Amino acid sequence: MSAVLPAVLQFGALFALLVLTVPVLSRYLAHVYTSPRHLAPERVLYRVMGVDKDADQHWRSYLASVLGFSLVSLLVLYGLGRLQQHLPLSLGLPALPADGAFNTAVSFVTNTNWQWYSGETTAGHLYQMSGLTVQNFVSGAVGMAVAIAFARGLARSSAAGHVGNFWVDLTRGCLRVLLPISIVAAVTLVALGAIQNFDAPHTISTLAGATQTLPGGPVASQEVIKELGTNGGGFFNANSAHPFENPVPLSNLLEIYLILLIPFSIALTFGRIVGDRRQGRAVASVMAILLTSAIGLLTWAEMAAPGTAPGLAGGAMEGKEIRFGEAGTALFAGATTGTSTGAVNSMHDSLTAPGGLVAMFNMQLGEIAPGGVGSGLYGMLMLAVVTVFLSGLMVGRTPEYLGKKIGKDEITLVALYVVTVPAVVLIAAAIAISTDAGLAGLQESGPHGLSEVLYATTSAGNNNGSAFAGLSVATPFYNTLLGMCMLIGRFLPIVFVLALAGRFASQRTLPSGTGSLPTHKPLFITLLTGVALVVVGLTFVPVLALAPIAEALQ
Amino acid sequence: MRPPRTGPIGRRTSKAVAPMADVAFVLLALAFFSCLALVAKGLDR
Repeated sequence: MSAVLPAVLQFGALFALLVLTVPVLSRYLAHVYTSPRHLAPERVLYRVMGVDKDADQHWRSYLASVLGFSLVSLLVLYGLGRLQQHLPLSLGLPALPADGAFNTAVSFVTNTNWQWYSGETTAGHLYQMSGLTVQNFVSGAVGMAVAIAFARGLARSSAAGHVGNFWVDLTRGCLRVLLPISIVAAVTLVALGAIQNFDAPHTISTLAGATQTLPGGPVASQEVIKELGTNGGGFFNANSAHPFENPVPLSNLLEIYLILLIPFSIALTFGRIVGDRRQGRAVASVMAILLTSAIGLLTWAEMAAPGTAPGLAGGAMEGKEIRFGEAGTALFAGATTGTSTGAVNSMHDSLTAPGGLVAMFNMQLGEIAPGGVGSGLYGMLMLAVVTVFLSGLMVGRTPEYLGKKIGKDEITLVALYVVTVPAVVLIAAAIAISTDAGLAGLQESGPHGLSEVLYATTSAGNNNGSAFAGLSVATPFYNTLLGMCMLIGRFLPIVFVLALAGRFASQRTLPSGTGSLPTHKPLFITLLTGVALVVVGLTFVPVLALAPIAEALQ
Repeated sequence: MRPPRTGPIGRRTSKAVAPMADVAFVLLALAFFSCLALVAKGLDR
């Protein structure tokens, strides 16, 4: 069988699954976030939390709720990590160190799920379930809430900056979207062989007479939300390469499907909320073009790796699982870096130089192909505003998007959004390679060493969480530096997004005229794709030339 | 997601240092979120 055939078949199956289910989920999401009716369990929760469920929040109030909720989550998770030795089901594990607890708390609250530790030797069951898994749900729901608030800002007219109710959006996102899908998917994953128990590690004797430690834990339930919420933090150190997390090729396909399901669906939901479904399809098309290109390039880079061993094996197999092969690995790597997931079913440090370049570039795009749950949509919409503005300058069109004027204040917010994460990534990388503490973590010298650092800061700044494993990051220096990257990379852009949402909501929606650029047609899709590539290209090409591109040319 | 050389896993910081480190990280988080609130206030003109 041709080596390309499994890649084509798996991509085809994934594409068919998404085409069949994304429209259905997008309709459901639109209902969830626009329905005036509150379910009984939700009403109980609102009463307990003291939330006015029918309040419509100004963008600053909405933002204050996002920030306040995230700060409390961070402090609680930090406390759980520092007090682990006193918690039940801790398996006798000690407390996390202060810098490690800070890094992990930030990591899971920001939907990054960067892991400096090995789950099986550091985190007990209660910390995993009550701390990390809870954040897998709520951090995903926060991202979705911000995206929906931005869509409301575009959809509303003269609404005095009001963009919805964060607490209602958060609760509905968890209870009506993430939980039900997770339950069904977890049962499916258990049926496919993933484990789900509360066992402590078992020590067994192998047939060869050696001893082996088999870990246990509630893995399947964490695994599905890890993918569905584009989180990525593995129960085990090997993440989705571990057979207890991702046992067979079919579970691999299911996990990739879960990663992509909500990001594509919420793009179509956006079209429904703004009252023009063509707008959602245009945004989803750009996401699909970028993702398909990345997966195609990654598959080619890994299959066409030069050398005798890759030639005989059918591709570069170092760091990859035989049971997934090149196709299942490249598909996973493209999906996990195109979204903010960061789960891995192979070791990305072992990707070929061009393959590593694609994975890194995918994240540096701002994770918009299709991006994290919610964050992918608002990231793409910010670039859509840039596209409209640039198009207006070039051809004399009125700079407006969906009837909203793009004036000085609006484009200033977008510009701040666009430069924030690249600045965080590049400044952090510069700090790491110019300090002894940063250089001490490198496994390799030369271009690959720079790639290791650049990948780490790219992953943290963009809230991805995957890693080039050669870099030793379990140090106070990297835990603090990358922790700050994650915090700034997540929340400062959210400030700009919600500020812009408020401005749009305050504006009167103008009718589309002959001077308006249609934002649902192939021309706009092409322009938006180009803007995404050029904005990133201009920012990152110089450092990429010194790292993976230089390595590929060696 | 997989740093293979994860260094001293589950290490404890010394009792003399740990409370100071805890205070420092908590203050860092509080300062960061306070700054964001100030940025938002500045943007809402």
